[in-house]
Amino acid sequence: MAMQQFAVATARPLPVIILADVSGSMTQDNNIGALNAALKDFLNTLSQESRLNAEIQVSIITFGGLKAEVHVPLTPAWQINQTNDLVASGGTPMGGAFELAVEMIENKDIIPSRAYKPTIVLISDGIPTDNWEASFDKLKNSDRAQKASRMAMAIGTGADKNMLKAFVNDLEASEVFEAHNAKEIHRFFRAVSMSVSSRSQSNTPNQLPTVDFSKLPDDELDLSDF
Amino acid sequence: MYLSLCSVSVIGPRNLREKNSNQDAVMHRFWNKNWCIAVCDGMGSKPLSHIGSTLACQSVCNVLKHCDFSLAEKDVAKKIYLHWLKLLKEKNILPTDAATTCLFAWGSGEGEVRLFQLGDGAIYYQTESFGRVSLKSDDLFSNQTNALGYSKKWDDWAYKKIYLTSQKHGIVLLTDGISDDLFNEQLFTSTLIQKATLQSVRRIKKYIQHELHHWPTPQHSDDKSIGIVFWKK
Repeated sequence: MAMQQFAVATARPLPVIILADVSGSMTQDNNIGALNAALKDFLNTLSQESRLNAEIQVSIITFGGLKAEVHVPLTPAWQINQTNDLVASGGTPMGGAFELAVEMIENKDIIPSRAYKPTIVLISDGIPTDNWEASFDKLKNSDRAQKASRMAMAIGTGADKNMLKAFVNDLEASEVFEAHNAKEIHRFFRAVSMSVSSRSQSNTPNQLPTVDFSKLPDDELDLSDF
Repeated sequence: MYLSLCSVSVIGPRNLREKNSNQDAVMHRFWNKNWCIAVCDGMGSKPLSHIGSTLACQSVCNVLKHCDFSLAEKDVAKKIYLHWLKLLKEKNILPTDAATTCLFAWGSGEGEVRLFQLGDGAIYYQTESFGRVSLKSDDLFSNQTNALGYSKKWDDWAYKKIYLTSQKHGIVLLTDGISDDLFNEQLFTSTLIQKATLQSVRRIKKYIQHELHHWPTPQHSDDKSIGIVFWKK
């Protein structure tokens, strides 16, 4: 038997878990539409990454209505062809999303030890309506989930910014990004995809590159003066 | 029957692509009665980790050459660590710039072997039963490791004493570039030991180099290093 027969046939995963607010208030200014468009672009960008040193995997967990649910299970980005649009309704059960994220990260069948540390991206436009504190404590303190990098985007003026500030833990992306329109939602996702892509190609995929939200490019090709 | 050693290190695709040095290092030595084999993995994020890993291997060999085989394990690790720091100081290199894991086996002619591990990677052994020196915490993700240059506690080290008494017995030391991509480690270990026992050292070395150069895990990028201890007739 050759040595190579004992090598696993899958790449080391680099998991990205999106926690997306789909509460009723996300219909305001069609923020849900902007989020859907930005997510599609995000997935499309990641699916085209060269996957030099790691395989980027993405999961989308939504929280709205009465509960949180896994909208897209953790899947290699290049395998995600299409996702159903997110639909906004009801409350903001953010704690439920934290619970699902912890469950996913602590499950070694879903995220093995050979994976690079996960990134959790929280997007919200409102104040949590469930018992989120206990679930957030679990996220911060459970064995593996506490090691994940956490980034956040506040949409509009109604988001619980203190809560989102407490959520962010990554020194390299320590600010909560504030988005007030579709363009800014898009910019945030561009920053996240740039950060994840550069991690997947770096010598140190566990370290998040610095994300300076104040210096984000609007669009790669700005033809507005054309 | 006599004990044989073989160590191989192969640069990974990432360092090759980026025109960097191999950040792993391997070394083995025989003396009158005793022997040692070391496998060290310099931390990729550190600028001089390739020097750190080479000096760590040198430190293991230099220190153990003159060391009493019965010295307490904690003192053995400390001596090697201090020697590594001294070599770095001579080169004006900060320990944190040269951080490296340190895995080594130190054996006597009678088959008694002392196994030491600081940081990622794995030491597997096949004696009357199969075992490994430390079980990486499942709470860690890939590339989160302890290393010379960071760790200051004996608690960060894993240690085991084993006896190699039959021809089927042996040891495999691996950097995480290999160990993180393995399944069925027990069969891997026994297969490799058996193969090494039946071939010349030069031939087994060539075989391992070939296997590591053609590693089949998709998007693998790390340097890959291995040390083997096995009996020969």
